[in-house]
Amino acid sequence: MRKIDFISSSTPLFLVMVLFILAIASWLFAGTALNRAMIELLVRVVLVVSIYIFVGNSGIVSFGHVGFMAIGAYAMAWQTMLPLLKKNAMPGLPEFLLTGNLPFPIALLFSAMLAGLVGLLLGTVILRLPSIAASICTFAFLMIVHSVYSNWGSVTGGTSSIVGIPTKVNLWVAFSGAAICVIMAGLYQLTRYGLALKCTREEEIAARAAGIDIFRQRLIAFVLSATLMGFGGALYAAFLGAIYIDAFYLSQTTMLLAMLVVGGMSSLTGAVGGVVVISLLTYVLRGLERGVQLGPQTIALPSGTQEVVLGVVMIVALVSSRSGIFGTRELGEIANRFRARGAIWARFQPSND
Amino acid sequence: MAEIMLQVSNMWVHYGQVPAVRNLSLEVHRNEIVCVVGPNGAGKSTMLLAVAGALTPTKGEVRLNGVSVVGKAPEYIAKLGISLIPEGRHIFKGLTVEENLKVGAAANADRSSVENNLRTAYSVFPVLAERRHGAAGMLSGGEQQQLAIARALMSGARLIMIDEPSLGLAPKITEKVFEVLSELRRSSGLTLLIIEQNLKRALKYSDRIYILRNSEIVFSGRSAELQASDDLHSAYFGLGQAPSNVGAGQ
Amino acid sequence: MMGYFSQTVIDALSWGGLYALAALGIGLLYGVLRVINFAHGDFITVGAFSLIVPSTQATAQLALGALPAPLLIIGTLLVVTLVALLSDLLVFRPLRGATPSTIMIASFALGYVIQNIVLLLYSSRPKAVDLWPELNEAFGFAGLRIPQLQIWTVTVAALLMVALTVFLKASSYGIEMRAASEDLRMARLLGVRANRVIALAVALSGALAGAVSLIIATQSGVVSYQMGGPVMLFAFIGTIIGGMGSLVGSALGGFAVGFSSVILQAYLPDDIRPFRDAILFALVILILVIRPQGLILVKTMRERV
Repeated sequence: MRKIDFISSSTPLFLVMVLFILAIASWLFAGTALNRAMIELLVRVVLVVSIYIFVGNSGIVSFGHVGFMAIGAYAMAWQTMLPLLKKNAMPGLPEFLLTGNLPFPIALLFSAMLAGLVGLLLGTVILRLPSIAASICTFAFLMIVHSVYSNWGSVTGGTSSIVGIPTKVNLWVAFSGAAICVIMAGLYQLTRYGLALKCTREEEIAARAAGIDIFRQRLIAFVLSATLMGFGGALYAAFLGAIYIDAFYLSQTTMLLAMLVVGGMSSLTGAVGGVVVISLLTYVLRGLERGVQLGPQTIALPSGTQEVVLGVVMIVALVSSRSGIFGTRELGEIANRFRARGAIWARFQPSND
Repeated sequence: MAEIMLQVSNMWVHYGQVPAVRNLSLEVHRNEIVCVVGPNGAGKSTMLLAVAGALTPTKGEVRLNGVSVVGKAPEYIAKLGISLIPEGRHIFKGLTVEENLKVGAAANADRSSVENNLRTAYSVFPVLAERRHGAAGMLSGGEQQQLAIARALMSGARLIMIDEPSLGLAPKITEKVFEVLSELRRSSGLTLLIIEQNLKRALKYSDRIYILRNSEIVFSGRSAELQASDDLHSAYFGLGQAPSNVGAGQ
Repeated sequence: MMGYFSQTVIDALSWGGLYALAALGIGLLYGVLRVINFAHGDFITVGAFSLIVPSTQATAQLALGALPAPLLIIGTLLVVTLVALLSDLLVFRPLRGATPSTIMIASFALGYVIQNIVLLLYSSRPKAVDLWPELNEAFGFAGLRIPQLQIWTVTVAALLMVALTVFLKASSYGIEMRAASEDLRMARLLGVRANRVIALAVALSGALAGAVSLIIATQSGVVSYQMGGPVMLFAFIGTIIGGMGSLVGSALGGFAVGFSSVILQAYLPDDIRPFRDAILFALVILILVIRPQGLILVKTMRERV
C-alpha cells in the first residue's frame, strides 16, 4: 500500500521532470520556431490535463471543455489589452474593464475563476443527468459558447479576430503553468474526492451504495477542471496574442480529445504522453502540408490531411486500446461485460422471498 | 437409458481471471427434467449462459445431440434447439405479448410452423391469449413467467433451460409453473434443465439433480432415491467435509 | 398578423418534421446499438455533397443531382447508407461492448474525419445546389402562400415515419429490431441474428440521414461541409428529451425541438434573435434538469395501451 501511494504520488513529479527536460532542451538547442512549438505543447498540457481531471476520473466525456477555454481566453483579452485597443474592438465591455487593465498574473487568476464559475453553474445543472445525456449537454454547451461569443460582437468582436493581447507567455511561464496543472491533477487524485470519483467511474451503483454522493464528486472535479481549462485558455490567448472564436470549436476539441485518448483516457501519464505524441504528429503533418523539397519539386499534402489523420489516429487508438488491454483475452473481456450487466440485472430483481 | 441430449464435460468459465465455473460436467437425457441446485453465486447462471453461448467457456466441451457448440454464437445455438430463459425472464416489456412470442420464433427456420406454435402457446397459456395485444410489461410476475416459457417454446426448441423460474413469484404460482413444465414434458416430449434454489421443490419435480457449490458440482443423483439422503443435505448446506458423489447419474 | 402566424406554424411544422427524421436516425442507432453517433450530422453532409461533383468551384456541377428524381433519391440514400455501413464495419463493430464514452469519442472522431474528407474534396466554400427549383414556387391556399417544398417536407417526413412505424410494428424484422433494442442479449438467445439486425438498423439510420440531406439541400439551396453539425445537435437534443432510445420519443422530441426553434426565431425580439440556438439549448438543458428521464414519457404511454 505504501509503495503504491509512493508511486502514484510521485507520478506528477516525474511528469513535471520530463516536461522540464523537454523545456530545457528546447531552450538550449532549439530555434524560435521549435521553441514556439514547445510553448504550444506546454499550454496544451495544461488544457489536456484539465480535461483529464474531469473526464479521466469520472469516465464522463466532455465535449464542452473548449468552451471554458474560450471563456478564459476572452477574459484574458478583456483584462490585459490596452484600453485604446479594447474600446475599438469591444466597445460594449463594462466600464471597469474598458478603462483599466490588470497585470498578467491577476488576469490569469480571474480568467480561471470566471471559467470555474461557469463550470459550477453548468455542472450543477447537467451533472445530475445520466452520463450520456450529460455528455451531449456538454456538446450543447460548446455550441452555446460558440454561438454567444460569435454573435455578441460588442463584447467579443464577433467572429473576427481580437489582436493586441499582450504576449506574456514564454517558455518558462508555459512550463510553470503545465507544472502547476499536472501537480494539481496529481494532488486531486490523492484526495478522498479524487478517489471517490474514481470509484464512481468503476462501479457507479456500488459507489452509490457505499454512500458516495456521485453528483457532488462529479461537480467538484468538473469545477476544478473548468477552472484549470480557463487558466489554460488564458495562457493560450497570452501566448498567441490574437484569438478568434472559431479557434475554440470542433477542431480544437478534436485535437485535445485526441491527445487525451491516444495516451489512454484514464491516466495522467497518458494525458501528458498524448500531448507529446499528437503534438509531434501535427508538427510533422503541418510541415508536410507546407511541402517537402524532394529534388527539384516540392511535394505537399493537401491541406486538411492533418485533420483526417488526427481523426483516424484517434479511432485507431480507441479501437486498439481496447484490444491492447483486453485483446488477447477476448473471452475474459466478454465475460466481464456480461458479468457487469448481470450484476446490474441482479440488483433490479425482486428478492427471492 | 435414454440418449444423451446435452453433454457438458469439464467446462470452465472465467470472469477475467476468476473462475465462475470449475471443471463442470453434467448431462441431460432426452425427455428428462434435471434440476441444478445450489446457493447464490455458485455459478449456476454462468453455466447456463455458457451452454447457450452468451458466455464462452475457457475450457471444456459442450455437446448438443453430439454436436459441439463451444464458441458458437447464441443465435446459432438457439437454432440448434436450445432455448434459455435467463434469470429475471427478460421479457421485452415494450413489445406486446404476441410480439414477444414472435421474437421467440426467430430461431425457427420453419416459418409455417410459427402460426401453429402461436396457437399451441395460447391454448397452453390462455391468459396470454387474453392479453395478446397488451404490453408485456403490464403482465404480472406469474404471467410474465408463462410468457417467457411460451416464448421459449415458439422456436420449437427441444431443450429448455430455465434459470430460477420461481424468482419473484409467490410459492403457489411457482408450484403452478412447475406443474405446467411437468405437463409440457409429458405432452410434448420436452427436455428441461432447471435451476432452482429450493431443494425440496427440485426433488419433487425433477428426475435427477446436481448440486453446485463454489463453482463446482459437489453432488449428483436421482431425485427419487435422494429424498431423505443426509449426504444431500450436507452437500447443499456445505456441512460435509469432502465433496461426495453418489454418482447415480453417471 | 394571423397570416404571419399561420406561415410560421407551417414553417415550424416542416422544420419539426425534418428534425424528427434526423432524430429518428440517431434514435434508431442508439436504440439498437447503444451507439451515440456524433457522425450522424456528417452522414447528412455526405448525402448533400453526393449531389455534386468534387471540385473547389463555388458553382457546383451536379453529379447525382443531375439524375432524374427517382434515381437521384435512390442514389443519394444509397450513398449515405453505404457510408453508414462502412462506418459500422470500421468503427462501431470493433468497439462493440466498449464504454459509451469510448464510442461517443470514436463517433465524434469519425464525424471529424468525414467532415474533413468532404473539405479535402470540395473545399470549404459553400456551394449552391439548385435542385428542383420549381418546388420553391409558392402555392396559394386560403389566402396563404406556402412554398410547395414545405408541403413536400411535411408530407415526406410524415410518410417516412408512417413507413418506419409499419415496418417496426408489422414486419418480423421490425419486431426483432425492437426486441434487440430493448435487450440485445435476450434477443440473441432467442435466435435473433445480431449482426443482421444491427446492419439493418445502421442502414436505415443512414437512409434517414440521406432523406434529411436531400430535404435540406433542396430547402436551402446551399451545401457546406459543416452543414450537418447543427442539425445533428438539434436532433440529439430531441432524442434526449424524447427519453433516449425510444423511437417514438425520438421522433416527437426531434419534432418539438425543430418546431420550437422556428417559433423562437419568429417571435424573439430582434436583438436576441442571433442567440436563438443558445437559448434553445439552454431551455432544453433546463427542461432536463426538471425531468432527467426526458420530457416525453413514451414508456408509460406504451404500457397503458
